[in-house]
Amino acid sequence: MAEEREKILEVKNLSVGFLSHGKKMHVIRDVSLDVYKGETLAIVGESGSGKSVFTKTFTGMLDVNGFIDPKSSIKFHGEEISKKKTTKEWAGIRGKRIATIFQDPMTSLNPLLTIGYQIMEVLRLHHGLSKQEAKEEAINLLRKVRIPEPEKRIKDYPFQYSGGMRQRVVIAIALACRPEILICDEPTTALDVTVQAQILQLIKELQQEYNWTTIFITHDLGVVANIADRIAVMYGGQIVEYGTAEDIFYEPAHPYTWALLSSLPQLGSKDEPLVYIKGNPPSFNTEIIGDAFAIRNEYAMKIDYVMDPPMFQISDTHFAKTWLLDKNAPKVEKPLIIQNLRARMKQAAKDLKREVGDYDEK
Amino acid sequence: MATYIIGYLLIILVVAFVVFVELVGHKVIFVNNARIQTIFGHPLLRYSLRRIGSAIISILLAITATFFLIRFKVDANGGLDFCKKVVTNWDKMNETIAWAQCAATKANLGITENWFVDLFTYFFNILPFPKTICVSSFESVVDEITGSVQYYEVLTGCRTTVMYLGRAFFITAANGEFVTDVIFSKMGVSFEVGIIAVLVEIFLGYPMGMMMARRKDGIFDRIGNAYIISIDAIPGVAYYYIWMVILCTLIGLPRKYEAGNFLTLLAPALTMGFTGMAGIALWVRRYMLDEFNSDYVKFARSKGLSENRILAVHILRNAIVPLVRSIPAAVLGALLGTFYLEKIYVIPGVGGLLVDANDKSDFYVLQGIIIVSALISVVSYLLGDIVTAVIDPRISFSKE
Ligand SMILES: Nc1ncnc2c1ncn2[C@@H]1O[C@H](COP(=O)(O)OP(=O)(O)O)[C@@H](O)[C@H]1O
Ligand SMILES: [Mg+2]
Repeated sequence: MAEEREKILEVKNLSVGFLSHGKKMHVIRDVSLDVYKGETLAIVGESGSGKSVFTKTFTGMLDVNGFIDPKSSIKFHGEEISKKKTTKEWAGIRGKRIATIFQDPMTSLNPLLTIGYQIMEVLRLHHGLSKQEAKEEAINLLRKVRIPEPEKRIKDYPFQYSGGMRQRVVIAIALACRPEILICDEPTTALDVTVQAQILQLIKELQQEYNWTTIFITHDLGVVANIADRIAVMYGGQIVEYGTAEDIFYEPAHPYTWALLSSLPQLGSKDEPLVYIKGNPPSFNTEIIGDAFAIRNEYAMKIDYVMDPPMFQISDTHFAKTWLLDKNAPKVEKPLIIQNLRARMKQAAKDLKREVGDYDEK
Repeated sequence: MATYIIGYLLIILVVAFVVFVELVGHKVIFVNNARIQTIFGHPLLRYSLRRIGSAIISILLAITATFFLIRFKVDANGGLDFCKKVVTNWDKMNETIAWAQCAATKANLGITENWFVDLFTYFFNILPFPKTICVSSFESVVDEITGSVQYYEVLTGCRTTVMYLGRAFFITAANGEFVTDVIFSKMGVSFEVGIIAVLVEIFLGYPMGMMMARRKDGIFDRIGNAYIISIDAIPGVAYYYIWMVILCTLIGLPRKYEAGNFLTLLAPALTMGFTGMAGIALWVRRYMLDEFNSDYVKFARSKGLSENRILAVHILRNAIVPLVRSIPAAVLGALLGTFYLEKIYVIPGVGGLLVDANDKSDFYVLQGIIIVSALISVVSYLLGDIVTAVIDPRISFSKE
């Protein structure tokens, strides 16, 4: 990924806060990140780390009590979009050019409207199709997401569909938008494992066909191993490390990434106990001083409690925000379990392949 | 005679229809006929029949219970209390004559010694098929010389009616009026006021709730909430008085009800409407706010739909579905009137009738009102279910 690629989204010094009970709390704290055209970027982190809030700012979908700090900037194709407020101002971008798939397919569809209506609604709005055209296109889209007998099922209501099928419909709706960026906010979390794999496979195939940019949110690093080009690790409202998938899996630099990788269930073998990250994610109620991860970090140094580390550059593509990379820091060894990750990953991928037939290795 | 035959035929037909629907529904007969299956095997039809069936049973139980309660009251204390109530000037009368008059009255009411015979006669009379009812009046005359009492039965007339609920004796000037006539005429009056009130409630309550939800915590929402809370906090009667003062004393609308004068309906209807709309607005607001926070509305927004479209297609529709169920009950409930409202505005409606009948022990009227109210509530719940089923695709009435 050495060649210069077109930046589709540039986030600079983004801070997002919420007003709750008369108090301001900052939930996204000074985050900068570029998204390149056509890539699949995964955002990983424990729940509550701010992944959803971060990506909601790209389509102006923050809850009403949320606000973006004025010094923040989000550029989409070079156009500043962080100052947009009303639905009117977002028209033309939200849905049409940046679409989102949310976590829970069971509740993402309106229970009182037919599947067909909810797809056609988008086609008619964004592409000005006639009713008949929209219907034909909706059937096509349903076929594309592999709903059997789409001509019949287009008249069905969501309650007649299973969770996996509903998520396919939600994806069909996103397809109907024909967006440039598709944000998938934990699209498989609510589904069971085999359905998860099928949906991931579908997203991956569609991505190859339509060549859009995907921002894939998950709290499970294992899920992204197969689809992400780049990975950003989020903790306490900040991106603490980002790089290519290779960088993150094989050269992780931040202790939080180490912890995340160590706790991958796919890597645990029978004789080793499952590792998990001790303690709780930080609360945003009080101001966070120093490195947010320090209190849970066994590698924490004194400075971690007083000063927020800057983003250190490790390579062209790889960045991490930890004092361990400072030239004055002592040399530490990353946990044993992830030192030979490459071999373990290979084994895990093989196992996975055995489990889910059509799941291919990266 | 002919009416009886028609009546029994009707009953047999109804029973046969119910059995047929059940058999088709359970796929016992006509398994291969798709049309008959879809029409007669429709879950909604079977559901409705079952509901009506169970409603009839509960109505019969209610009638039996009240019947015995009332009869207990009539026969209590050797019948003395009841007789004292129904015979005017009991204390000044010769005891024999007084008792005789009471017995004549009982005969007029169709009260015999045997409770069960009376109950079954009553049941037969309320079966809804055309029947001829002949009524007569009993007069007691005391022979001055022998001191014995003789009855004269005077046939007052015969009439064909669908449902005979007995006759009213104590609450109206015209003795022996059919209870159905009394109740229906009172219902007409209650409904005149009630239906306007319901329309006011709906046409003001819904928009009020919508506007409050649209701008939550906005100025309109605050005012609306204050109104709703005040209605909740102040007892209904007091609120009716407040509106009466505003509408009649301050604005000058006529207060006393006059038959045929539309203007006199306004004050009571608005009083009830303004009070009732608070409840509706409260629920509309609540359901709409739920919708605003629902995932599918967020998803709809993320699809890029305009706010107006989201509001019209995704929020209003969904918010109204749970509310529509209560509309038939509100409309039909208008038939029954409201006691306090009728008292304040001197409306001769059902609310007053109930209290009056109770005070004067006019038990056929009392029983009649109970039956009619039960019927109304059964019909309105059934209608509510049907309307909901029509607009909500998730509802199916099959057993599973
Ligand atoms: N409307 C809101 N008001 C107050 N706090 C919020 C609101 N939305 C999200 N938050 C807080 O922001 C933090 C990040 O949330 P989120 O982005 O949903 O996390 P996740 O990484 O699981 O997607 C959480 O602590 C959450 O409580
Ligand atoms: Mg989330």
